[in-house]
Amino acid sequence: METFTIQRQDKDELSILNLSGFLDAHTAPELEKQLDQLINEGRSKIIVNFANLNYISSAGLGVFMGKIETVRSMNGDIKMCRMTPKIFRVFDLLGFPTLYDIVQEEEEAVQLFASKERSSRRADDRA
Amino acid sequence: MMRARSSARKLDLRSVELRSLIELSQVLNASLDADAVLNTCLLTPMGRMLISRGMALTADENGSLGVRILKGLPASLAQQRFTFEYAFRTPTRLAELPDDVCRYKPFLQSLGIELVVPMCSPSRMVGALCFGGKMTGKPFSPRELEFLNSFSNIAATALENALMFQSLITVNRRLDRKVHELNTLFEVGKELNTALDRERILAILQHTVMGQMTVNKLIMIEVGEDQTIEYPILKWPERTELDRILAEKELILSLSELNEARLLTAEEPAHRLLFEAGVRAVVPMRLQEETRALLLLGKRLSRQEYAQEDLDFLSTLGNRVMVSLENVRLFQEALEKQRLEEEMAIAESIQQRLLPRTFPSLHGIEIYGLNQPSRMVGGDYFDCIPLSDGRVVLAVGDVSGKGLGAALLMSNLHAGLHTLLQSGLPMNEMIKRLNDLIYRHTDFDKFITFFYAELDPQSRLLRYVNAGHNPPMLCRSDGSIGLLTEGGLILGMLEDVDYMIGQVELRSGDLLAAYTDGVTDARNSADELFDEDRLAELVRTAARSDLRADELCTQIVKAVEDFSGDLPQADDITLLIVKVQEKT
Repeated sequence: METFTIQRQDKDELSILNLSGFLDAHTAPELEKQLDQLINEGRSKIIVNFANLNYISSAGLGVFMGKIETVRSMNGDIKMCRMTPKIFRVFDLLGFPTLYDIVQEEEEAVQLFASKERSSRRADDRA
Repeated sequence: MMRARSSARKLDLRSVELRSLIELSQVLNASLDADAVLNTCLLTPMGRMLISRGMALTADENGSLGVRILKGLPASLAQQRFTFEYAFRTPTRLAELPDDVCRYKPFLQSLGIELVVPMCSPSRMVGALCFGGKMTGKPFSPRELEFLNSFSNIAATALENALMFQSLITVNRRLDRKVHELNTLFEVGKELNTALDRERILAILQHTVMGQMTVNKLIMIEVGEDQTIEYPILKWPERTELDRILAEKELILSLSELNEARLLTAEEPAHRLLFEAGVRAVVPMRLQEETRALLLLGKRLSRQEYAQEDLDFLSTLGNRVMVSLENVRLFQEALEKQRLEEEMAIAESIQQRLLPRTFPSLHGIEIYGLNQPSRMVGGDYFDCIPLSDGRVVLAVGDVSGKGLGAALLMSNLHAGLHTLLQSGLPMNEMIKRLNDLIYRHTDFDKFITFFYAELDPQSRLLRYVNAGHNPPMLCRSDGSIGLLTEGGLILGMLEDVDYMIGQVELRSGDLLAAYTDGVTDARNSADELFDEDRLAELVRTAARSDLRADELCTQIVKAVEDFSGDLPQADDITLLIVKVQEKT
């Protein structure tokens, strides 16, 4: 049986999930549990790092679909980074790039959160 | 001199034109992007001839031309399509197109279009360029038209290549998606094969559908045979929409008659309510040609509509999941059955312990009893209890019904009798109390037929009460058979019933057989009853036999079994025999 592990790393408001191994119908519930855990803790600014993920199936993608609205309703987001071409192909095939921020480097994802923070602060200032 | 200068200028111009054509052909043929090709095709002539408006059209497989790029024209034209019934292969002034064969002519003229340049490959019109007039106000010269002709011929090939490349990409992508779908089904199938609990299977279904379809609104509805509705999956972030869907019970029941997946549209009045609540597709989950459940899907977040391919995928997945859910159900049922059987086995062993395993050895009298339960536990009871004064209690009872309920009542009877035996009450009073006990603790449809006797081995007197039980047969040495009928009503029917005591004296060579109706009601393959006559005959034979009581007992029970042959034993069989030995 192929293994799947999630390593979580919290940096201030951000939570980074480093996925490795095989994310398929069998292991998808583990990722779902981890995301639920973050949501329960009120942590909604999530970056998923795919650098060490070898395989993803539709069920794996389904986990992200199931959580994105909740996370966004908490004023957060799930941003994705460091996909290998093979992993990106699956996301691309199913049309994910229009729905999620998918960037090359983790730092870019961090910046995306930061810039959104700034723009919403500016909006607050104006109001 | 003047002529020489003017012809040199003409040559120069010619060479510039040729150079730009070569350059263009290089640029165009290097690009596989249709938009880039068309962009160049518009901008080059617009720059050279000072044209301020133009548009590029590409043909679909039916030859209809769709607007692809607009320059200096309103963006609202982007969705516009044109057809030219009139076949032309060279740049043509709009004014020169025959009115009656191009119905778009007035419209194009209203846009300020003056020139139409077809882009033709050898086989078909691939696209077209439309240009407005020159800003200089001068008409297009024959030279310019000739240039545009060469230009469009070169561009047509590049455009055709680019369009073909694009459609190849589309085809490839569709192929990729198909491969991915197959992989998904393969992987899910593998996973479902090992999943043995329902929750896990439902999670696999949910994740796979949501990931593959980019949808986060999903309901699974199971419709039972009795039209009960259950919702194993309820993923619908909008609470109010969800409530509206769930309120449409009748609609959902009517959907359960669907046998193939379909899109919902606002146009169909039958499904309008669901559509308004956000449902876009309904996928029946079928098992053995029967719709057992439905998937309702909301809008896709990718904003794409569900294509037929998607519906096919969802149907395949849904049916596959249904098989797994059914397997789990059957597995659970088998487990449950096994658990029940184990419990019955425990009950049986407890019940068997309530029955006597040893019989008192008396001078000149043999007692033996046998119980053969039918479906594990049953409601037959018999007992043989030596009292301290040397008398022996004999009892045979039959509790109504079968299974655990009957077994429980039988153990109640056993406990009641053993307790009352301590009371020292006369036997008819004891049976009266036993009746009251059973009456109080059971429903009216639960009762017990009961034969109770006390045998004094010294006097060989047998006193008994028969509470509605099959009368035991007492076979005398002369072969005559008497029935022990004295007593009263069966136990548990009415309260406060009086019982009479019967009495017989046993003599040498007598055989007493008390039994339950499992013996006389046994049937053979011709549906005949074993009945009392056959039993009486066996008892008569037994009375004359030299065999011991236990051997006789076994022999009679075996005769009943042989009578039934291969038919399963329908009821418990109980037989209690008292054999009074011949004087020696």
